[in-house]
Amino acid sequence: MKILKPILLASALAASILLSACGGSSSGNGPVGYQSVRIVAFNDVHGNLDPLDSKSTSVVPLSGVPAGVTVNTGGIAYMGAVVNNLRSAVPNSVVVAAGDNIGASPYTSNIAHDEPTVDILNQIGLEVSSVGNHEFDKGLTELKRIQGNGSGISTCYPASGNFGVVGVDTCLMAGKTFSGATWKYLAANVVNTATGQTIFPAAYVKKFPDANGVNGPTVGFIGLTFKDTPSEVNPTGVAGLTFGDEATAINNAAATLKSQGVNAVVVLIHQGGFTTSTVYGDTTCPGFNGDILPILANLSDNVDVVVSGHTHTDYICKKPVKSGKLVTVTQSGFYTKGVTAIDLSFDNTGAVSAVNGFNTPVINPATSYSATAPAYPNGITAVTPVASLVTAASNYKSLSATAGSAVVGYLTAQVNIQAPPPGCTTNNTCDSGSRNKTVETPMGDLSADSQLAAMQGAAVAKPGQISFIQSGGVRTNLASSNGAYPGPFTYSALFNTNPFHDTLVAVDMTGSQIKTVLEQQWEAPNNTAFYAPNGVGEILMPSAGFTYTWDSRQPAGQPRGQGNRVVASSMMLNGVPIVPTQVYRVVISTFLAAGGDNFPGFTAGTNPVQGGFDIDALVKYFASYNTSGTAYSPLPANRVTKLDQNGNACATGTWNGCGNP
Amino acid sequence: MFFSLNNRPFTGVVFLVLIFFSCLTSADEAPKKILSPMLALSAKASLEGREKCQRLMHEDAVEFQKCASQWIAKLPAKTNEDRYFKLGASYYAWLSSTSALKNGMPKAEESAFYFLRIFRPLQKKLKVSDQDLCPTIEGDCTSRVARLLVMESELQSAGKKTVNSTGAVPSAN
Repeated sequence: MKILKPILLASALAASILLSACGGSSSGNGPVGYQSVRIVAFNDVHGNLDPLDSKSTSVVPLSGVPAGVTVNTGGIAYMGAVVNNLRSAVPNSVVVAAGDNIGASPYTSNIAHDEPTVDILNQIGLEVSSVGNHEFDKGLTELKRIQGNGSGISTCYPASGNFGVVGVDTCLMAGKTFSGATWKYLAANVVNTATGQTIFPAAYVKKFPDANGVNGPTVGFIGLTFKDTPSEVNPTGVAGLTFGDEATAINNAAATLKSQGVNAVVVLIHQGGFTTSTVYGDTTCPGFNGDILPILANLSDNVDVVVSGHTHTDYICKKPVKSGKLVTVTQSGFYTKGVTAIDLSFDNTGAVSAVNGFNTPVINPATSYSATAPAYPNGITAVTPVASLVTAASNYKSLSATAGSAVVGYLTAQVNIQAPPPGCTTNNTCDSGSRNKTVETPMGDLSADSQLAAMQGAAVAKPGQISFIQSGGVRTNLASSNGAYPGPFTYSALFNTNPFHDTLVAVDMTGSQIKTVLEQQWEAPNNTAFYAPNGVGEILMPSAGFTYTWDSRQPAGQPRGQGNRVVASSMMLNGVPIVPTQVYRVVISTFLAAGGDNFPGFTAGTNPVQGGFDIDALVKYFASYNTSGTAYSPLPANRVTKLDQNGNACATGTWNGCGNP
Repeated sequence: MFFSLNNRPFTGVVFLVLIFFSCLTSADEAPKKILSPMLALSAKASLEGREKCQRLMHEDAVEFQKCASQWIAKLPAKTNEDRYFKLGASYYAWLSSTSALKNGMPKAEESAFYFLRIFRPLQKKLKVSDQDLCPTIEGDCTSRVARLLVMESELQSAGKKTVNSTGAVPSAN
């Protein structure tokens, strides 16, 4: 298997390059007019359209101010302006990206399945991009839909396209269609295991005109993501795919490109490093480190430039490849806050003679498109956003608000998570002071109930019996939109309670395996993962019918597998004791199923069957509570019982005031 | 520069290790300045911290801060060697947070102030100047020290008002 994979990959690479080459043959290259080419690059946009307050600053250099100056940065309409400025300064340019254009997106893009981001990056002129790990968040089928088939035929989400309701389905582009990205995704190291073919072409070739507008340099782009992508993506998102060694994929594709006569090879890779610079735009690359270094060390001389991403920082470096040749390695930052320009110069033979890269911060005059501009020091200039992109971003924001304002259900009272105790306000102790992850909550119980319900019913071959959701997955209270009860709540309010867009999965677990997982709530390292005073651990909240007791007199922080806080005889399903050897059908997110949030016990689950998204389960659950007369009443968080230091049961909702951790 | 071996016995192995690290400012970079044996321990700590926690600086600085703070909290501080190691560890964590701050990493500012409040008192206790500490981690010392002084000033002015337990102060913006 270890031998077959590289061969498989190499064959796939060669085939995919041949398929993707778009003009420019080696015979066309001559010693005439090799005008320089500017590559304009960015990475890790992550669907960020607005210059958001919480991530809207950068420290940029200013002459005479060694510490640099803090300015507002980001916003896709401002980034578009920087891209345009960089392109307009030169005759030849191309816009590229190094992955994570979509995925892990803010609400505006997320609710519309990232179609707003695709539309706007199309308008910015993005031409070719590597895939990143987040491109796989929702699986290959969805990624193929994002890529589009180029025919202009609507491929609305989901593929049936028969919803057409904002917030339920999308297709928000003009004409109510979604024709996909106009840029080309590349995936040199991502192979469909069944077919042996890369899921997208390995490379893309672009021919530029010379000074006379005819026969200029040809640049080949290779795109890929890091080989450990499956470890950072929901397993369902990468099912059936093989992620190969990065350097092997690059070297194979580069050799093919060179044999086709390209003048320069540019790698777009969703992997990166870090420097120790304290000011944006540094070109000295101090202390460069990270997972991209061993990849660089194994690259062939065929590579001229590496445009990187993933690590959410910026740098312009010159680093050696295997032979010692120095190649330019860049990253622009993230969230639309910076853009890289790389100028390639060629000698009379068409060989690359110089590479010069620099990063430009996307300095905006305000933290929103309509806010008042702050006064920056002399020498700091904000850009003027592209008006059409402001319009597009604003339009999508309005559409998402419309979608989010749709009433989903009614409540008789607010459904709560639990706030930390008074005085517990810091990240390091209480998860930003907004949430206590160490106790069972009504909102968590509700979420678990909805997930279980989604995996039950006649259509499900093996219906779920128990569901769990980790407290980290439940973010906020669910309140009525008008403050009155019974009162309605909106899609956006519901989305904010479970914002991760996780996919559900049902698995088989024995009673013994369930106990193992429950112990992991307080075993190391979860015993220190976001604790509050008098509270320890990250709690799993169960669906209705599953109950158990835990004993705070037993120690927390035991090594994995040695915890003993769960009272085994207390574990019940609908009042019947859980049998250690009996198999139960457990519904969880694929995030948990992969051992997320330090719950590796869930990886023992077998016979997985995938369900839909968590948010869809919640929406469906409230179909029975969608009028004032059928409003949902929050349930007491009484499925898990804590024993205090005297062995007495703590009252519901009083865990933090009941005994020691 | 101040450093002292105090009364600690120096074994041959420790000496060789220190000599080795005294030639480094970064594992993959050419040495820029020969460090004293004690500051070489600080440099060693920065590399260890980088290996442990740097990858966690991703969507925000929370996980990085958690990783680094838990690691630093467990470091011994009984001997002078311990203290120089801890100084390097916390200085690295501050620098990594400050470097992320240049890119607008969410929560990087809180993380930077958190570690500033750890390493700055230790640095002063050990009487290590900014100019001597800076070369333990490669980079431009002019901009780094200037940024350090700006943050220290912000911390002090905020301290006259309200500073929470992490040392976080309101954003400069």
